[in-house]
Amino acid sequence: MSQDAVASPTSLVVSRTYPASVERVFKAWTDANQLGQWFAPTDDYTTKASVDLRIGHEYRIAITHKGGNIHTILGTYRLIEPPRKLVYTWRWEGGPASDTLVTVDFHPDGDATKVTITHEQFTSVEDRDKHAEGWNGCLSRLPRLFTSPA
Amino acid sequence: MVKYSANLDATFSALSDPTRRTILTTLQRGHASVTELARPHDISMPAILKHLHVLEQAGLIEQKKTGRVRMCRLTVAPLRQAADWLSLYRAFWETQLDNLGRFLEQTDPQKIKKQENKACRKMPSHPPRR
Repeated sequence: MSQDAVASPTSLVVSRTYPASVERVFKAWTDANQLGQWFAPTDDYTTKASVDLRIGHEYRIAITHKGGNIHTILGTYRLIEPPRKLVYTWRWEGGPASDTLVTVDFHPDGDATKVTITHEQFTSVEDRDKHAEGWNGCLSRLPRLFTSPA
Repeated sequence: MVKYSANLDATFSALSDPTRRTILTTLQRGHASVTELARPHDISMPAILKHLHVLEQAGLIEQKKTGRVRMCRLTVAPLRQAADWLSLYRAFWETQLDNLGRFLEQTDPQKIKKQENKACRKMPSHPPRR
């Protein structure tokens, strides 16, 4: 446990390869309608996304449990390089004003696409001070997304 | 909860420096003196002391003076919180990537085409039963 935290302390990286073109995968990630079709933790949730794909502009992903609870993720785009790279801030609405940073790389590999997500904490003191509040929004909301009953 | 969050911020900030991570890795093997911790690093003693101070402020280590030797040891709780954050989000993203895989498969234009062709070819020999 502590070994992991020391080895990759401030960010986590998850990747996956899909038998789909990089354009398709990028679109699935940036088209509000498509995003709404897959970005949900389980079938008990429905997702509605709105995307303003311009640097400095906002996206919102509202994830609604069948029991009625809504969890909303929102942030702004920092970098948009279609169809290869996306960088955006991430926070849970109603939580403390504490952004994290998500970078998504779309790497073509023949006919396939490797997607790599890097989700980062603040890596500079400046950032940390700017967002003195903490992570409790993420921490308290995430588990609820994995447990069904609302 | 706020305290917990502030702790986590301090933890991640302290962990964002490679020298401090090396110090923590060394301390995972057990107690060590400041001199021992400084040895692998090509930096001054005041700089090492400053790093130790940051780690101590973040609650990641404890320092204790025994005679003229200052000993350090690891405090595990904050690292556990950091690891919890990481593992929660790892699980979250793994799930999302599974979902994306299913979505891409269901909406694969080539597969959809193939299935349509198959359905057309099959129809005469296997008419749907009513």
